[in-house]
Amino acid sequence: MTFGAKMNRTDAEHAFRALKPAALERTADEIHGRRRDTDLARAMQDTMGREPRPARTRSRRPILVIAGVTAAGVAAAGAAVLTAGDGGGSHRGPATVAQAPLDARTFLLTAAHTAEKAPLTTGAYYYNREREQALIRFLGKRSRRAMPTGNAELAKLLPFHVAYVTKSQDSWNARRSPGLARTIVGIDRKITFRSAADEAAWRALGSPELEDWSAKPHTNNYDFRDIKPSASQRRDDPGEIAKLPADERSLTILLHRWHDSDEKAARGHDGVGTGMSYTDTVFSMAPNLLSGAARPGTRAAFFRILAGEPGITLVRDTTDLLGRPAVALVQKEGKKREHRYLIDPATTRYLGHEAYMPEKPDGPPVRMLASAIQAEGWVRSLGARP
Amino acid sequence: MDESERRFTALYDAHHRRVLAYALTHAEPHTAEDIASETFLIAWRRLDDLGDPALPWLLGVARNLLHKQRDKGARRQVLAARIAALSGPADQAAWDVADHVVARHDALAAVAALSERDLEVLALVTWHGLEPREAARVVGCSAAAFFVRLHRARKRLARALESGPAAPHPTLVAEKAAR
Repeated sequence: MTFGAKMNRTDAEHAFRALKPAALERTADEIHGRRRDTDLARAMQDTMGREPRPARTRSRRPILVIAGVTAAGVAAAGAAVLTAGDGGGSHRGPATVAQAPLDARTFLLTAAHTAEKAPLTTGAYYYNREREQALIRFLGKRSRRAMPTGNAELAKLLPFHVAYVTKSQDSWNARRSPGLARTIVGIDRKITFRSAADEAAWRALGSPELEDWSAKPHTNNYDFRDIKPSASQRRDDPGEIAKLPADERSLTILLHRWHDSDEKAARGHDGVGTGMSYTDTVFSMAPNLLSGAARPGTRAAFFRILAGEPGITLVRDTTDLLGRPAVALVQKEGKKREHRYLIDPATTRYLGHEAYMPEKPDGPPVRMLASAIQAEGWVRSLGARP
Repeated sequence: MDESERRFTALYDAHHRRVLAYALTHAEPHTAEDIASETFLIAWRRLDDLGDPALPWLLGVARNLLHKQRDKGARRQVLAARIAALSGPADQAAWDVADHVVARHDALAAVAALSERDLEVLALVTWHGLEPREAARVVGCSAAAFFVRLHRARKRLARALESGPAAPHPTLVAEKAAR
């Protein structure tokens, strides 16, 4: 910096805002978790100016021990009993995410603590290797003969076979955008089948290509320097993600702004909204705002924002596409569709995404698409890997 | 849980962290948590009197309790000292990544040169996320008066950052010496 340079009030306020220590909210969260039950019980037992109230016990549910509880803490809370389930999400002491959080809100608030402690990294390019598996349905010989050509609706009613196409992709995106980018697609491509009969049907068809494009690995180089991305395209840009606010309030304002502008753009296009609620928008931004490109403070703030959104549930003790232990944050779409974001319970790192929907109109939901981050991080040059 | 308990629990869950964050910028953690706890005890007693939004009222109570602590002789914690106490390597790293036009330690020194009154006004709006009208309720002045204070505080902050660090603030010198 050079002193003497003109400092306008916007820069000055920006600098002041950035002086806010990350530990301020972290410490507030920790104290809140520790004091909540004691403070509530103490206040509600206070009779100054109010009628005395009887000590309350919470509803009886299986009791789980949460890390950090002391006998004194329980006694001070009067007759409050530790409960499992989806209650107020109280958590005592500095519980770590790996120590069995009870519900989505508790998990998310604890994850915020852990996320904040991650080291801040940076670089000239953001690298990502992602593995993706897609469920592909195809018709066997008999069904193809029975199906009038081109009748896609009828095809849905015919018996089909299931294959899984799994492949990885490397990508590099410049921090200073728009810039150079690169993808390498079709890495380690594998085709597997739900059953031996499905594989036999595929071979009987001559082992056809199951995707519409060439499956061979190839490298794509991009030069976006003369292109002006739209505001919504910039949201996916790692360089922009790295600049997102690291405090809950500013990030919330931004998310509302994104939701409102998407809604306005959709209505301006064809008079029909996106059909997405604000919560849907927030949930959909998880892969970006929880990615390694985001600052630790941004990830922590986003965990806190998610904790306040309704309708997000938790599936514990699951695994991701690569078999890694994971916790899934789940948002349902209607009765039979759901999206899951998988989080490493120990580090709160975002692991990947799964989409579930029915294969048949009256069938149960199955996993149609899964992705897993195999490696990611900031690197110094195009083509380098962490 | 009856209606009052439900309302109070919702109030606590919505605002306790923010009251704590405010108190932590003025006092050490053990004092801040007592201040926040006391604030909500008062809120429980005055539950039917709270306006909407409740946060300015709560912060106003916390502010008064902090003043009473100082009247009792508790060591006054200036904001710059609280920033130094709460800051860590991650804050420096985040500062460096964000391409600010001043170095962080110079920004801290400039902030330390401002009055506590200026810093409180700036922090209420910039850190604690209050609208100026809400912040006016916290400090107990009219909205118009608060706008004037905020405008002047911003100008003084910009001037302080432009002109560079003056004589080092005694608190910051002590903090550096202690490390």
